[in-house]
Amino acid sequence: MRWSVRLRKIATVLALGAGAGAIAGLPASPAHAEGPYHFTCRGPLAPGGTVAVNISVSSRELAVGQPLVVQWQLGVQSPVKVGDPFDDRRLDKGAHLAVTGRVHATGVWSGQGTIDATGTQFYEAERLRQPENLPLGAVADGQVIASRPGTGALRIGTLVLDLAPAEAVWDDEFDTVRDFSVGYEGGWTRNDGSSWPGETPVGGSLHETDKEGATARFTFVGTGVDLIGMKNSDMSRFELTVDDGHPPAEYREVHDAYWPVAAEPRLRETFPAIRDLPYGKYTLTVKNLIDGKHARVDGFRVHASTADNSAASPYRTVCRPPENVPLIPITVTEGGGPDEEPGPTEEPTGSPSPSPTDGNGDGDNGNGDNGNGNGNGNGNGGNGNGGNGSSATPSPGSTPTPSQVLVTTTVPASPRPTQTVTSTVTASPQVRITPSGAAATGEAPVSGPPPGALIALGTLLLGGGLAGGIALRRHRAAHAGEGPMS
Amino acid sequence: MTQQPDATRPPRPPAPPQPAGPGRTLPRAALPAVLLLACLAGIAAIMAGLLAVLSPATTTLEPAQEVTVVNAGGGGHLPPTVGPGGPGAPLTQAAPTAPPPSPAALPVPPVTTARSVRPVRIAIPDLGVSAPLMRLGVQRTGEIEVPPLSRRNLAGWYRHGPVPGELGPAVILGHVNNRQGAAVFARLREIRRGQKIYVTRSDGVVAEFTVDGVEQVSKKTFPTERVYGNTTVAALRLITCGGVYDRKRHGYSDNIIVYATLSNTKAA
Repeated sequence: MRWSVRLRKIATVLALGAGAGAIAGLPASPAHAEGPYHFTCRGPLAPGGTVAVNISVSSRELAVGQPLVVQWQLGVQSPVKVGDPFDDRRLDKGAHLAVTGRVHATGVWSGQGTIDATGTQFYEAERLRQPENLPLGAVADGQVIASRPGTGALRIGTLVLDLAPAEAVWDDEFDTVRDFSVGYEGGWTRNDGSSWPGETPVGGSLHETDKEGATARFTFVGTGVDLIGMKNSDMSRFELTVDDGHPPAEYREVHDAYWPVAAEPRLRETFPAIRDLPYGKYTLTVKNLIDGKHARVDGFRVHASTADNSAASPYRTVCRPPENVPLIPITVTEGGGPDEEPGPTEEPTGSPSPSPTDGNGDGDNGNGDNGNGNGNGNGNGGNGNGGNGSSATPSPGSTPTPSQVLVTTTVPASPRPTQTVTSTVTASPQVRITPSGAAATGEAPVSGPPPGALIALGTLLLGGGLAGGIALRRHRAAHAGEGPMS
Repeated sequence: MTQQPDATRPPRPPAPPQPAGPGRTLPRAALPAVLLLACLAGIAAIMAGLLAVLSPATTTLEPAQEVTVVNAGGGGHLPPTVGPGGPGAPLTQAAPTAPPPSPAALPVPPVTTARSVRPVRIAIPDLGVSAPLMRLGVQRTGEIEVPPLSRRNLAGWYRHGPVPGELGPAVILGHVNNRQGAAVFARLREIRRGQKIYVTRSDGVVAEFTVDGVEQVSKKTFPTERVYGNTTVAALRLITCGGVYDRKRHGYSDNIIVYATLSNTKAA
């Protein structure tokens, strides 16, 4: 299992860090484990109300350009499981569990920001319904590169859990839950389907309209969606649209629900809309196009081929750290040595409260606010100015460590030609896997039959024509002396 | 053959012309013509097939009228820098060792980016492009994945590289066309230095990039280091196909590569 490998990696990191304190001056001091912390959880994935979390940082002392890695390990004993797995038919095809652990960084990383550690794991339905806790293991580590010297601090934030069923059916009417909702506009009524023979509607009823322009909107989180409707002789064309709130729509197609056999209406008919979207929040819109003809909405089938915590699933569970979690102080030094003046001296603009001197071991304050992140967005507290202060040049005497290089780029075409921008480039590749060769991003605009098939078809036609002609001539010659039959 | 009138029966009024179909006389009469047509169609199909085999199996992408496109994969003297694109500027391939083009606007520092952030949409107002983004990886062959050809207005972000706005070269791919016609990056060859590209991210940040240059490169000499190599700023690369289509190899001969640098950020 992928997380098992990460567990071993973390164990290695923790072993390296055991017994070693923060030693100033070392370019990369050992990892520091923090915890276990008992987070208080609210949501259906933590029936016990708490989960135990270990958090480790790669180092408390690092040089400019060195990455700071924050790793989360969720305790094996943490009671993470689905509340009523047997009653929940949406789990029949399995589900993706997504985890994000958030750490707030202040001081030396663009002023202020967040470091998210994320992970996703798929569980079959059988495993979800076993009584044992779900083995969360470790999530992928969060990482940030310290961009300027100074002192800062890490504040442990929230842990967010989501569960995205691989395939889930939603009825045509339900109460809004997290990012899932449904609404009807323009004259819809409910129909329990009792007048139709055979199959019954999903959930015992459906919505219908015969008004042109009437719309139904289903907002969901996933990677695809189908409409569950029906076909009947009193139905006609309707339009399906899927969008993420940013035009143009991801999908727009007109479907026809007309079914000529009035005595045999087809219920629970699937009208596929779209698959393979990036995981996220979308809205499916059903619009009736013909006045006097019905459009019917019986339900929706949502697909998820992966998951993350960018949008809230119905299983969203948020765990908050205890009140007394101390700040984790971090010191960033210049790569060349302690005597050098730090290059950039400007405070990052837009940083609300950098307070770089407060984070140095002052663990008894500043930790009361531990609930400002609900995982519903990806914090971007800083505006990205840290470490790249304008009008700044690196110290001439600075000697980059082997792991990082300081580069100054002069921008000739800028409105301020004398301005320079200093950036930190780590030695590790920014593109982690470099593809080989070029990209195949095109296709023949028109596609005719292959030449071989054309020649074969032509030969067949020509041979058939000639053979037929010969046969006809022989037939006529054989009957040349006969009179017409009456 | 035609039927003779029966002398034992009373004369009937002249029959109106028979519609095609139910009578037996018309198919028999038309049989020679059908056979002749089959022969002619067969000859035409054979000729078309032979032409397809013998002619060069290429389709040239129609460039915009004001842009001169040069397939620079054939060697010769290559310019030391990536060209600016635009009217009158040939999209030649820069020398293999040429660096990415210099920024056209003042670069801004990279954006703090959490691990879960991803780009969700790209917009190039000057080209009328506004498309969602999917995530792309690498194929087993090591080549970069591309978006599904069935979706014309969909581009893809290479997920093993930086998120647009992060330090490093973020890469976005889009098809130039598919069998139905023009696709999301059909007009990418028209882009020029100074024009803007906007990438919306899942954290609500809109990263504005300014185009630094554009080149058309032979796929045989793809400038891997120039495209994927480390950068000192938050950069963006847009890639699509160009040149001529080789039906035998099922692909275009060239790639169009756009180089851009982060020049502004704002909330969506």
